[in-house]
Amino acid sequence: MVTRTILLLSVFGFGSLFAQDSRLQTRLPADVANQVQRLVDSAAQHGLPTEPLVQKALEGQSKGADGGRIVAAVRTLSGQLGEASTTLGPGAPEADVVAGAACLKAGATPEMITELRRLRPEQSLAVPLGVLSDLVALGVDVPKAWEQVHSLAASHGPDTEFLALRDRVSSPNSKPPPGPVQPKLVPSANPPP
Amino acid sequence: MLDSEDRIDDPVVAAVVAELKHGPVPSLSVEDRVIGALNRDLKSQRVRSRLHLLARAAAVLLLLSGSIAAAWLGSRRLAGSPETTGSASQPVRFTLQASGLRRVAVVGDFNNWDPRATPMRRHGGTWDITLPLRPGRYRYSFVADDQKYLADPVRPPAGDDDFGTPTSVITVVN
Repeated sequence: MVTRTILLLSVFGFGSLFAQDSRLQTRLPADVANQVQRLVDSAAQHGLPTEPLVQKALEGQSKGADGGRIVAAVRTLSGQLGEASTTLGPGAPEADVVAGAACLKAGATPEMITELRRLRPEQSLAVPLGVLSDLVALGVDVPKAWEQVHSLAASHGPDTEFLALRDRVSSPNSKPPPGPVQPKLVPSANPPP
Repeated sequence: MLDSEDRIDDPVVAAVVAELKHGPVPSLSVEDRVIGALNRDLKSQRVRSRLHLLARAAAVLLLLSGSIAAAWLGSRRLAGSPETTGSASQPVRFTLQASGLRRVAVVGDFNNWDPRATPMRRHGGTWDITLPLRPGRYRYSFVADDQKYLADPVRPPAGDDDFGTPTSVITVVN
């Protein structure tokens, strides 16, 4: 009896660590929320960051994406987080893993991440990796972007220099954030309800 | 019925009768064993009772620790900052110049992509809002009139937009 009680309460106690995320339950249809929750729980069991997965699902909901697309996006991100985590090795900071995942998605190779780790063994890689993916998103091809990021990392440049590099490519004649520009209005794929 | 040993002539029978009159007296060793057994039983009951109490206390502690951990995780989730590095928040200003709009909000990894969470203020044709953000990398968009998603024209686009709408990235450093 005692053993059973302890067992039940243990399961309940530890189970609450993997409790369903109320944001998913309230924002997504039940079946979608459950599928995303399973992916989140699986990521947690593998020691991967889970908040980006939840945010990805909420982003999809906010943008009116259908359930299948949301689950697919979360699953893809989960795979990228796993690959980045493996590349960075055990104990990598969450921010590095997340930036590494974005980098891999942008087209960087695991070898690039490993090389950055070698060049900055004691520092976070979040900003260099983030800037690498930003440069690619801005239209710089991967080898050219890598060349610039690698050069800065090799010269032990601080995070601010990586950001300055990105800003020079982003807006050669001005610095963010002022410079308000009339945006092009783009309707969302599916307007939120 | 025999009243006295005197009336029994046979000495063997007399001895048996005398023994029977004394009755079956349990030996001291048997009593000791019974009392010992009872004591052991009592002791084991006490031990079991203590074990029950300990088990209950452990279960309550486990439950509490689980709930506290869940609450802690919940609060982290509510903070909604997946890529932050844990340092102090810094004010970050978001601006958008756009005329003819009734409402503009900013949505992103910092507010659970909730269009109602962070409405921007209008100053003429410029919308702006300043948010405290911890160091990290955030994806975000502007939402105009509850239906149009806009990228921030002064910050880099996100390269990983899975939902076909413009998304920007901001990196907050220490």
